[in-house]
Amino acid sequence: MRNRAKIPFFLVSRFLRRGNKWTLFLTILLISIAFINLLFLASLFKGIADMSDNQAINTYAGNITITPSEGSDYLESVSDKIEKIETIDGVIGASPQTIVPVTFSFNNIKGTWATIAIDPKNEKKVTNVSEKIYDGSYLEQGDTDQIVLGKEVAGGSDSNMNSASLKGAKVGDKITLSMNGISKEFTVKGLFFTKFMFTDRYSFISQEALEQFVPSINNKTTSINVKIKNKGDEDKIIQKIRDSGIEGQADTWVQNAGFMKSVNKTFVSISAILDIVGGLIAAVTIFIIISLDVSTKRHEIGVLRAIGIKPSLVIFAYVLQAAIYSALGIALGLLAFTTLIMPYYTSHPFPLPIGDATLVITSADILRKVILVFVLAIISAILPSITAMRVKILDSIKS
Amino acid sequence: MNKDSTIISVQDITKTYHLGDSIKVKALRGVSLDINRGDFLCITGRNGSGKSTLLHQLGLLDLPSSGEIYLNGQEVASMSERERSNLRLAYLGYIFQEYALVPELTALENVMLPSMMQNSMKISKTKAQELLKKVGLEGKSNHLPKQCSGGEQQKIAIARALVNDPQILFADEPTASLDSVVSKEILSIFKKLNKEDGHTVIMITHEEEETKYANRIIELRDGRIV
Repeated sequence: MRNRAKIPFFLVSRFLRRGNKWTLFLTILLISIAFINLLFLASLFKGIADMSDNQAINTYAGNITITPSEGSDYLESVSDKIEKIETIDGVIGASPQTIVPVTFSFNNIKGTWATIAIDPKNEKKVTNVSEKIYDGSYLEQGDTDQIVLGKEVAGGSDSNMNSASLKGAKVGDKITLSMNGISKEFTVKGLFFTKFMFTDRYSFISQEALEQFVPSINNKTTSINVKIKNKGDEDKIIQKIRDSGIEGQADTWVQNAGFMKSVNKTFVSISAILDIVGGLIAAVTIFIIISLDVSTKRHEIGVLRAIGIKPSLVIFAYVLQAAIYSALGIALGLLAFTTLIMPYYTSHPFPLPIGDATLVITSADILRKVILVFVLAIISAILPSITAMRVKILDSIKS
Repeated sequence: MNKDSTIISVQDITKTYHLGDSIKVKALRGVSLDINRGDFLCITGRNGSGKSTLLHQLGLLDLPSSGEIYLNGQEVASMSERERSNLRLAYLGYIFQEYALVPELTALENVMLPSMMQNSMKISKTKAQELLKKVGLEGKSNHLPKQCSGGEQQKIAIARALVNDPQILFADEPTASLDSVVSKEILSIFKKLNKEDGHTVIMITHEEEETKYANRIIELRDGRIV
């Protein structure tokens, strides 16, 4: 019995060593391409979804946003709250953001753009807008008559929404901001481009600058954004914030950045559909390659049966061969994907209006795809082998 | 071996092939035949007379439409494919017109393969080496079929057929693709296997010249023995 079990390994080692090298190479290559296709589609959409999440957190809302409780317009005693929040384990920083309903006047353009008053020092701990300045510099503490503009507010020929912008405001330009019947001239200190279109339509002034329009807003804000160490721990940290007695409504970035929720949901749906489509393409490709290979061996299968080799051993030999083909195809595909394709798209990401998407895939996802391709290859070998066994020995030998 | 005892007995077998829904080809129309141990039987006849069909029924490579076939007294037509496969492996050896060697295996590996179903790799290799020597191919052990001539390939096929020491050797026009010199060499090997080793040989041939190697000849015409 043990001797018999060696027969498939004996045959396959010879088939691989002495069979047509081009057929072997092309079979492995096609399996690897089908595998890469599966990985690529999954990782592209995971990359887009992750990027949109990270952009929403890093440029827009942090992980958690605390807003006033129902019935209140402002969060009070902001400095105390920030201090308390920053002592919570797992929190990187907290920063107040106050929405400012100002009107802009620049050259002959007059309009309203979303403007937020920030504490520049704290804001650097929560968002990365300060690192996205492409001209000029970011706000500093005590900047009372300076403003930084998002690329889509400043406008210009290379902005996406020039017609709804200041149409080319530059660093050093003077913009008049009006609010509560008070008008004040601000100098454009810097321009930023986060590639997240929602943030790039914002402009920032300092909290001190806002107090010039509304003196009573000192130590008050409309929201506090909180950045935490580990994405996913939001609910845990929210509980700790509540436990520390900080009043207000704390929401995760998912609840807060509602517009991204639907974008993300769409990406996840498209990703799931493409995963199925990719899986079907891989299934059909692998089935055709392997079953064609086994079908061309009908004569050989007939000979093996005629000389008394048990059908189960013959089937096992061709299944083993397909398993080796798929293992080599998977290895080649994985090597190409991790050493060529992923690094290429890391340095040449896909530019999208919400950021630059790279390829992202988890080990668990790779493992699922490996199992899928492996199982497909084995089924693809079993079916034609069994069919070949049903053909009369003589017909097989003659084919 | 007891030369007088019957090794294969065929009782009124028929074989009908269906070509499409309406066309039926009656390849065998009631053949009865007893073959004794140690016979060298030649089956002759024109093309389409049913020679190959009869050989395939006798060699358990195909099933008759009706009738009975006994191998060593055991009825085989009603057996499962697995049981027939075991019988083929243990008692029967085949030599096909087109050699039917596995192209990726060397001469030695082709010969040892059927033996590996019953023996260790080492024993199979030793037996294969002995048989290649017996058919005069000891120097070609590591050659692939494509590196051998037609005659050499047929000798490899004979060695392979002998590796499990079968009681009966079936040869379907084994010299059809060979020249006359090599054909004589192949037929001499069959004669020697029959005379000296006691193998029963059942061979199909078109050539009258080749029937002189046999001790018994049957001719088929239109699916019947004449």
